[in-house]
Amino acid sequence: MDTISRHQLLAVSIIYQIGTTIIFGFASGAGRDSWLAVLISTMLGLAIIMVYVSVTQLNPGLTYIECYPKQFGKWLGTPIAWLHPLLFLYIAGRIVADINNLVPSTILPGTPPWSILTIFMIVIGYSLFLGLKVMGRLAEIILPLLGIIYIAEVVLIISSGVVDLDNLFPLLDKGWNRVWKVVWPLGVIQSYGESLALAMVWTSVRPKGRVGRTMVLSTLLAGSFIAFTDAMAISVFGEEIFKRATYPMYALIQAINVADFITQLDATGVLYFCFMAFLKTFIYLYAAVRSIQKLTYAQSIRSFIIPVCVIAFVLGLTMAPNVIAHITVVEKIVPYSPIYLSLMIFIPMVLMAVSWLRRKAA
Amino acid sequence: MAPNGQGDSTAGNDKLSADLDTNLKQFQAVFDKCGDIQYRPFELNEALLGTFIFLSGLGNINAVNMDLLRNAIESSLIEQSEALTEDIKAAIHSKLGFTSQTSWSDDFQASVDKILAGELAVLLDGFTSILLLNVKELDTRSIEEPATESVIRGPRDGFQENISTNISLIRRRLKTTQLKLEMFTAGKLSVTDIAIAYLEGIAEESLIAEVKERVGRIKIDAILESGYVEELIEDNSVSPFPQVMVTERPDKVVGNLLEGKVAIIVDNTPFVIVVPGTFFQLLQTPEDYYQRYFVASAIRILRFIAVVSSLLLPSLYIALTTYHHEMIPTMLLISIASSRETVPFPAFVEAMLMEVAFEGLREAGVRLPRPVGQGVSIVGALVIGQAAVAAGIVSSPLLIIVSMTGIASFLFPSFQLGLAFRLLRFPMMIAAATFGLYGILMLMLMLLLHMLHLQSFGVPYMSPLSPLRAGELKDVLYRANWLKMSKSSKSRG
Amino acid sequence: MRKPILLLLTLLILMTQTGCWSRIELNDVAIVTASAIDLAQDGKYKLSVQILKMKMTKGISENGSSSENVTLTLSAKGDTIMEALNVIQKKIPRLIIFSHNRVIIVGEKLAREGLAPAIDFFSRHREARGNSYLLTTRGEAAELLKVPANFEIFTGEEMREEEKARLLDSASIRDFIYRLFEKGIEPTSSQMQVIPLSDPNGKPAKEEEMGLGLVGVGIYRKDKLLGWMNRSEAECLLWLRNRMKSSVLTVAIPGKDRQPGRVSVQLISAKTKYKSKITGENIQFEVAIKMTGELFENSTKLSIKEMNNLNFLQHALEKEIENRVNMTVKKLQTQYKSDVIGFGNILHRQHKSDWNKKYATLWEEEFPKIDVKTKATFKFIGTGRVNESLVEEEELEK
Repeated sequence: MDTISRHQLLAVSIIYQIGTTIIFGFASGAGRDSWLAVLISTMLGLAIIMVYVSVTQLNPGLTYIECYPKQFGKWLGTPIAWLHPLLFLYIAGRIVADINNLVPSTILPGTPPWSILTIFMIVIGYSLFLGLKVMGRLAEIILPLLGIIYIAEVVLIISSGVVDLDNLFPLLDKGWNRVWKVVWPLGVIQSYGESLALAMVWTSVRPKGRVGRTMVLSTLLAGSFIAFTDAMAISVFGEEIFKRATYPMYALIQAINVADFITQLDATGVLYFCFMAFLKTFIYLYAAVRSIQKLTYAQSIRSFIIPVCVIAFVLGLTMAPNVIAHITVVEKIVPYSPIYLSLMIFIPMVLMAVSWLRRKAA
Repeated sequence: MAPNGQGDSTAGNDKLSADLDTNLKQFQAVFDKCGDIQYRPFELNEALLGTFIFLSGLGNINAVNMDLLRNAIESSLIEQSEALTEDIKAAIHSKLGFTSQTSWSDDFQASVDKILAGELAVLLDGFTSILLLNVKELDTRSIEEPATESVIRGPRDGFQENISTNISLIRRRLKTTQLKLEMFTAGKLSVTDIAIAYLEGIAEESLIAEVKERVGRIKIDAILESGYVEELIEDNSVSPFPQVMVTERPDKVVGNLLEGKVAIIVDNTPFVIVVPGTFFQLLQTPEDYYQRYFVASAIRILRFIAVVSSLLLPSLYIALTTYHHEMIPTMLLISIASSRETVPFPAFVEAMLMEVAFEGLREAGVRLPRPVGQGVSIVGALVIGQAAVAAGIVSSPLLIIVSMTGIASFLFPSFQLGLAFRLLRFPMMIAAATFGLYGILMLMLMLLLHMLHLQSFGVPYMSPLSPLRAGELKDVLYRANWLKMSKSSKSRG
Repeated sequence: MRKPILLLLTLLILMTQTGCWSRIELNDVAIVTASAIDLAQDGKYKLSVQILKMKMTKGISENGSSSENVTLTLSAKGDTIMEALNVIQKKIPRLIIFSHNRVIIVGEKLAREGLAPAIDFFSRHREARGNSYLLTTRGEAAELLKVPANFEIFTGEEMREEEKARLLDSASIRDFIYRLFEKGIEPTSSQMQVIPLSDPNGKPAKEEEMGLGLVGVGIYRKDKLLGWMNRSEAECLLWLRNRMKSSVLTVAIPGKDRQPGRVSVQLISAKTKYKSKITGENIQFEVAIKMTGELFENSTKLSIKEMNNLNFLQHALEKEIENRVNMTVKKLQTQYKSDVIGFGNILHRQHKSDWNKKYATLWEEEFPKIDVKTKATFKFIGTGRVNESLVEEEELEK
């Protein structure tokens, strides 16, 4: 059985939730209040995640996907359930597209994207064959490492003398309006709503139980991490540059300069991003193959791995012609699309209500 | 020594007859053209004939011994002249058992095995069984300091080729009945003795059973070194990483036995296998526990740095100089660039060339006789390196990188693990040359995934770091004070 | 179990098959150490880059005192920076990389026309670093690149070292862009000129005696250069912006017999706090500067053993500081009407609703009208190795 421990789940979800915000920034539309927007999104996101958790708790023994046919009946539940692997695949394709856009334009100019993505997908495929257990262990090892590197970078940025806390003020300069604008729905869906894919992992946690507590902890940690990073980026750049930069966090790493010796660490920033994207893609594809396996009643997930990897590869390669189109879709269109909103927010709520009522009745 | 029945023996008659000549003929037929088998016929007082059969050179048998032996048998026979053979057996047993291990065998094939194992067989006329005396004493070298694992502080005895000596070296450190040694033999032709050592109550039952099962499963013609056993019992033999620990040091074996591991001692080799082997265990030396713990912890950290740099240093050099110039501080970049100016090769070829040359030098140093070997490495490292830089074939920063990598790879306490990292350095360099840091990251991920997937006898290779067992980290990332470590060893009993 | 090996093999084969697309060997790059942008007669940009000649640097590192110039200055004209760069690229066989560009020098003419179009390249380009310093110079920027280096291997490094010491207000590309975008603060950049090393007045006899020096700062409104501020005013800006590293302050103390003595103080720290007040249409700023320093030169007759004398000196220094700050602010308000100190920014922080409603768009007109009150406090934290003034001892002997 492919299991992970609670500690590993924590590591996986923290990395997963921080995810690609490490380079794209989070809620940068809110200007200098973006860290506040992050905290608010975290609180709302926490509520959403608790909905997912309670759905799986109300249907013990079933993966999240299987709850739909069980609660909504075969004819309504199965189609809804089938939407999920498709959604997961789509988002996985989005992340692969991130790699497709970022890596060639920053650290490997001139290298054809397909070759970069092929390498990426090979590693993803290999990890999918090894399974969740190995990935849990990987996250467990990498998280402390990332933490140490991150702390080092914070120290380096501060000692570079570029941080000016005055840039964080005045607070709520333009009022709550622009904060709300990024919180709903983008802020809630990004990172937190996307934790839906993690719901496919929860049933593999051994020893069982206390998934909710782990998720709360990871969400809070990830949220405060993002908020802190945002605040730091603002205090380095000021609001205007922060809003203008394509990759605010990437620029943040570029600002490091210690004793003229440690400079231009931007390539390491991209490496961070690649690792984060790696884990996120893994979780999405894993959730996708698990869902497909559950829905087709197949014995093993192995036969689905290669097709799913190929689909994600093709999606990632063809999805967006350039980074602006890509980010526009991710920030302006996707969060408002009914499929996203309903699958991530509304239907789970209905599912929770139905499960709860049925349980009461039983 | 309980021999395994060698089932596929060719001799038709397994039983011995009462007639000495028949028996002798049978033995002579089996030992046909075995020049090292010696026969010594003798005659006892009451016209009782007998023959000694033994291997020359394997036992401490000389004229005096043999005469004494004959006298001893004779006197037992006199005392018990009227008694039945059973009594004679007992009498001889009691007389001779004082000086050597004796046994009676009426099985022909078993006797042949024992003679080949170095025991002295005494054939007596009128007896259907043979008296076997264990006078085995192989000529071995004395106990010396292990050549591959020397320490500054710590015991200086090392294993040698004789299994019983090796066992005694372990027993000397663990005077407890909990130390169990189970004997096996393996190898169709070599019939090598293998001992499985563990501490009862500390090592897990399932682990012991698994080791016994795997050792019992070994099917091979001959075992010349414990490396054969290692490859036949490890979990994943296509991995570059060693999954068992191999050591020449008794104190290291005992230390691991105390941690609940199982040792496999193979005859005719000083290298003892300890299972399960984990990555971090392979990075520890016994000296870590003998030195003051602050120093030992610092050395462990140094070792981790060495592990990373022996794997990544050349590939980072390639990646940074060919893809990510901006990450090199300007002044350093200028000095690297100016020394590279005359180098005709791309950085990758240059690095590959030097690394291969370095590995070659190292191998040459091992193979050559010791006094010459040192000369080779000095000539290689200093003269060739200098000349190559002066001729502008390689750049001096690269030479520094290669030497630093070399030094780092000498820091591995486990030679096998060092080998794995030396090997992996090359794919790493290829990855760096094609995709820069991105390639390094992807290959590293792949390696990490592989290492995390590996298991050795049910124990994950990267434990206790992952899956995390926080309590054990104090003996992995650094070396805690004994006062703090004793807590866990107490609970183990 | 064979899978990992197979995967690894395919990975390796793929890697070797695909070759190395973006690989650039160090032998094939030309490292830009400094670049200069000017506006040419025909309205085109003239980009000049200072490139290291690798062959020569080897000579330098070996014998230390090669007099030959290790850098090569190339220039070209173009409608955009990128186009000019492309022309330069065709002149040399190596790929030009900007990732180690130390400084960007802008000529006065271009600066007065507006910098934004020119520095867009440097904030957008993949290789360019935001840490490069932005310098302005009176006259041709390209001239500065031709001055031979006296201490470092190349002049780019020298300029950067001077900027880093922050004896005058320095600005990196990032700082400049930040202040360009941020409301209520205007950008500045250091002014660097070729100056004679020995004699500040007379003409230098030989070429070797020329060096690069920071002489003041350029004051901008938006991205357009308005004018210059001299050394002492620029130092004053550093105090006001809390960016002083070290500085020297000299004050004349009138003596009893009409022979003014002078006191020179090494400033150790300067901390400035602002308080803004809006009363009706009036905006008032209270600027409180706290400074500490060490007395290093005293040519007055005052003995600093006496507490009174020390207080007197401190008081005189405070007056001097207040004077200089007031003069600087006045000059900004009247001559340039550009808020490079960031009063608007402070007002925004302290009165955000008023700012958003009234001043955000009108700050340019409002700034000259604001009322700035300065209050300085100065504390000695050291008086050097002697207590008594040497001058006074001489007097006593008479």
